[in-house]
Amino acid sequence: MTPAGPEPDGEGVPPPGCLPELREKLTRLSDLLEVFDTQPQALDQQPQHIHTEMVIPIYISMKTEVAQACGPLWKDRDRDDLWEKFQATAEKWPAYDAATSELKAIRDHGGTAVDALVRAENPRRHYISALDKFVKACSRTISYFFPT
Amino acid sequence: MEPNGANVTHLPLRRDAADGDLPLPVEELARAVDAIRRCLAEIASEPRYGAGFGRPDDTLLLLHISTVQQRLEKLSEIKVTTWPDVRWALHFSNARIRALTYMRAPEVAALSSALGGVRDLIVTRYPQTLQAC
Repeated sequence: MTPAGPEPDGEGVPPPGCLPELREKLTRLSDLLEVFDTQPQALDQQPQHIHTEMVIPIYISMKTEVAQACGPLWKDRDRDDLWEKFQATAEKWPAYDAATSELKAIRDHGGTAVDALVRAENPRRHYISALDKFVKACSRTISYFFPT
Repeated sequence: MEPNGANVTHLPLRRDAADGDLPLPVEELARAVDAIRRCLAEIASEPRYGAGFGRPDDTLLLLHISTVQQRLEKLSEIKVTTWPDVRWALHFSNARIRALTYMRAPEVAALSSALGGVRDLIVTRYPQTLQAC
């Protein structure tokens, strides 16, 4: 265990310019994850929006502007942990993307998607689980270094 | 520092989304509600639609469906990435896509249900759309 550092006072780390947008995206994703907790299939119709327009931009902001703002105060171990959580999300994405593409193709042709829905369950569950961990880790990091 | 530790606060979740800065005018939602209302009224007025639609003499219904389709296409701007109420945007987008999908299949009961779902989501969240019709 690494000993806890000093209490954040909101002045130690200059907030990066991306912070308001980052908070907005993380809050949106947190809200969505609460919905997915009880209705995971609600993600199936628009996963692209969420992955490419929210998850990836969050990762890029964390990796660049936030990392630069925090400097050495953000320990390597904690950074690596966050990158790994993103990596897990990214690794789960292709299978889920393929499953939802199959669902869409079947529905577009007026077919019954029961079998495809069953096939989508595991990729969806794995993706949502990884996404939840990534979002929580990002939120904890932002709350710690840039308390409101 | 240990940002991934347990002794930190979480970002506050937004529960109440403001309606004042919608990415598109609420009149667009009202127009969709009105188009759906007219379409559902047409379906209800002709029992023969129950067997499906697409026959040459179903022109009136097909016109209504086409209007609804155009209205719903315009509402594609309602996205979870930008709409103030993200939860509503998620449910609405799913209902919208579902309705558009059923428009391609001549199954009146499923289409009616899907359109009713879209309409209910709009008027429940934005009741002012009823007054605008």
